[in-house]
Amino acid sequence: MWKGKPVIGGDTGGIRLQVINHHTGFLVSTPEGAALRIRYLLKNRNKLEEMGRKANEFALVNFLVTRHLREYLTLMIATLHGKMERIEL
Amino acid sequence: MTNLLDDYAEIVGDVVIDHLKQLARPLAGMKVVHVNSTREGGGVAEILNWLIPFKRELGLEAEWKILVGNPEFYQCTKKFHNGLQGAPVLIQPSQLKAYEQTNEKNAEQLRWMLETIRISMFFCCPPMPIGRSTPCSVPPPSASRSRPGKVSA
Repeated sequence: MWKGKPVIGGDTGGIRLQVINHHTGFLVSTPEGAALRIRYLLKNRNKLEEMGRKANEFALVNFLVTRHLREYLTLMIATLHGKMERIEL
Repeated sequence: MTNLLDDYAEIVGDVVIDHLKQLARPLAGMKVVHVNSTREGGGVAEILNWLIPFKRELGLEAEWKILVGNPEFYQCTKKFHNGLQGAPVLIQPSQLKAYEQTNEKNAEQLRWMLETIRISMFFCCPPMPIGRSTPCSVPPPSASRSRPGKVSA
């Protein structure tokens, strides 16, 4: 996904959280299903590029350590402020 | 010295890095300890390898401590993992004992740190070190967290 390519993955577990079906790639349940999607993407280059671009953006926003770090820091600030509904930084 | 924040700014953009700096400002100088069970292998170690230097660069005093156990301890915690994700598991009494003994042993090793250094936050990653909260008698730091989002002490 980071390399700007759609990903074809098994429809199970954490893969479902990474591959958004028909947007950042395809979720499949059988080898035949994977082959079908590969053929589709090879024949539809525009779609391949569009989904690859979305895959890269999705990885950038969700799967880099900066996102993880932001959530850790937010958790720490929230913990320090207890039940305050609004926190001014 | 490599500047991680500058390196990442080229990838994610200045806005994201500025946001991180803004969030980290009120946390500057805080002593934060992350505990997991390995420095290599697995997602947690991979994340902490980057997270700790990032936190330090943002002004936090971040430390990474490792819990050391025998194979039976890891067999037990693996069953915790699988059980928490819905798989039926049977934990042998000997495995549970190894788990408790390992946590007691590691609690002793970390007691000094908890008693002498003012730790602001203590993060436990996966369930391996959670048992530590039982044998440690010192007052708990302000937060202790086990992925994903479960407060353990």
